[in-house]
Amino acid sequence: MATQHARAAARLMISPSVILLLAWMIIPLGMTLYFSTLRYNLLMPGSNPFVGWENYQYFLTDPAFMTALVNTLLLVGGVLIITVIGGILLGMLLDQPMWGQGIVRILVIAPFFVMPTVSALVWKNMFMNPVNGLFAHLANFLGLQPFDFLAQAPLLSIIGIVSWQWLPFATLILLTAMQSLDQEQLEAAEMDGAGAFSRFIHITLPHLSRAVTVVILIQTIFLLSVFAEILVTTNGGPGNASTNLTYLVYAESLLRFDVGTGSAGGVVAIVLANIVAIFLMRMIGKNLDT
Amino acid sequence: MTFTTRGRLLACAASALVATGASAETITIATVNNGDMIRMQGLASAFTDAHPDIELEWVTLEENVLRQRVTQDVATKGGQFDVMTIGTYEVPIWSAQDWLVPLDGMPEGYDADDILPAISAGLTTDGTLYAAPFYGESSMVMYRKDLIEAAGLEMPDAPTWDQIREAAAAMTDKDAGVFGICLRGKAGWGENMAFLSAMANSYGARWFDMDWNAQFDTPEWKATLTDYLDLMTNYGPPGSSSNGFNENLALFQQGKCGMWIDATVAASFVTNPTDSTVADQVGFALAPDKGLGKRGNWLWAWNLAIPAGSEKVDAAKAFVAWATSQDYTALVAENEGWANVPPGTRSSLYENQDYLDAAPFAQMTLESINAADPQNPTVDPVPYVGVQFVAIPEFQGIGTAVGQQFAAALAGQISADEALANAQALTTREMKRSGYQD
Repeated sequence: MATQHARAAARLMISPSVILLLAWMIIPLGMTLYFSTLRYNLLMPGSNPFVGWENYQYFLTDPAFMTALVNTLLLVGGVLIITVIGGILLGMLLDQPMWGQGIVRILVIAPFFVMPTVSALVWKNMFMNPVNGLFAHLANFLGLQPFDFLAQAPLLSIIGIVSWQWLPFATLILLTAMQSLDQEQLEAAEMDGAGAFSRFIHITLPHLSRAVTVVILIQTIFLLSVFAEILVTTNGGPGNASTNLTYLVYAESLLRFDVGTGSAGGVVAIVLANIVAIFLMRMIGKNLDT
Repeated sequence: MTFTTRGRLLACAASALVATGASAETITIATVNNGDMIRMQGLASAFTDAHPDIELEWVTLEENVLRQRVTQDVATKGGQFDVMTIGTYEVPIWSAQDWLVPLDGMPEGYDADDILPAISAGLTTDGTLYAAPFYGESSMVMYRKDLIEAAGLEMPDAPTWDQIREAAAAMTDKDAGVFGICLRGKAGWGENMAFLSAMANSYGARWFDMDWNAQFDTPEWKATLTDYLDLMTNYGPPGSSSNGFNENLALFQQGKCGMWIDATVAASFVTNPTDSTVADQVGFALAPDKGLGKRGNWLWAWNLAIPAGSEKVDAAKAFVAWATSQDYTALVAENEGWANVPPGTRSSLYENQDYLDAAPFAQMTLESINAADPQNPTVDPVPYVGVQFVAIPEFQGIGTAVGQQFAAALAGQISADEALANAQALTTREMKRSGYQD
């Protein structure tokens, strides 16, 4: 009896914080859901009538929507592939004993501390600009036509910029994992006559699988909402070539001041992000169990 | 001596504070981070000295952010700001929705009749002024006199688009890094669409017919876009689909552009020897025409307005009147020189010989502004107000989406026909949704 009372008391005591946390989460979500069913444009005052699914219908049939969806997946997938493979390679390099190891490691990690807006500006103006950029000067020096990255290959350029930022993160995690690898095991394999490549495939890579899973999960969460890089470099263009879902929602709600459609877009983005998360968990989350 | 003066001044200031401390009103002013506005903040002590009972608080923002903040504030009646800096686009829409305080009964000495007719026409709804212009601009051709001379050509004061094309071809020397013409290509209703809508006007194209049907399927728009793409791909700099005002300004100042058609306010930047390598070689001409009676120049002004949510209307009015008055112009001239006064709003400025001497571009600016007519922007009649924009709330969204299509065409990702077809489809869709057509 006493324990039951104690439990009830304990529940009562923690309920304020639980309710607060719940409200913290539910209220914004509820507001978004509510707004997404209204015809509500800030610039057109008057009544905001309930229109049901109209906003969703307009958002999903927007000519830019399919492009944005595909771009979002390409962006996440592209950056993941580059950072995981690049992270493993860089991690193996940094794992080697060398002179000035500490400084080299700090230099490799540095891009992660640059703010997204700043790195996008630097890449746009100092590297990729086809008149004044470093790459244009290199091309001119080699006698080639400068390539206009942000106009000709906008999505690829953004994947490059974002990868540059996230590569250090992947490298850091994977390097740490590599350092926990038992050296004696590697030595034993070498004595048994295993080549460098099979040592990597059969020992290092399985050892890294958990770290890779963590990298993929964490990065996916952040990459689904890449925004600053797009806003600064291409503004989602040319056309819709580099618009992702986040940018599309921004355009609806802050460029057109259409709160209704913007909210509907936000809800759609949440649903899609959850679908991606479920698939990810199913496919690779198993790694975390073992 | 100086000590006693200073002491007296301090005492005066202190007593003034004590006397008015209780009744001092603080007005919050939202403004854009353009050079002229920053200068205004520096000179604002002249206003507070004359109005010791009013204190000023500034919120200075970049253009897009400012637009978002003030729109949200005014639309939700937030009352954060007492004075807002808004563009010519917002004034007719907001005043029609009773979001702005009418600027009648301005303080004594405010000469509203002195405002240039073209500018005040854009700020007047039903005969009432709803915003006071701080500076105004149109667009014009800026060109390199040395390059055009070397090419053996001459730039007329009022060129045609054919002459512009000929000049661009003659001045282009890609090996030397000189491009015949630099134009806006970055997507946005205030970026590439400002230029393209103005250009389209001179080609006889329009956004909507009298029944609000989108007009991108007309031969006039096709001619506009084809000629624009032709100019830019043959004689423009690489990467022009991401060039806006600032990018082109930098290119022109570095001597990489033969011609640049853009805002008249740029004239003072490209002729400023500390920033521009080509300062003494810049010539000016009116925006080009196509022989149809309309020139491809726009009309814009940054204005000060008072939102309907403000509770300090009188103090706000006093400030708006001060900042847009002839006295303020004289104050800037005294402190910073005549070339730096805010241009394009008052007739009296263009009758002032000191200004005309200091600003070689003054005459062309005035003629360009006068050549624009927001009520009849193009050859055929239109149901909207605005030269390089359509003053309806939906335009920001539509204009930017259309601008994206045209930027994609400039980048070579889609053809001109596809861009026009997409623009037509998305404009029609939005206008249907907004209930302009049955």
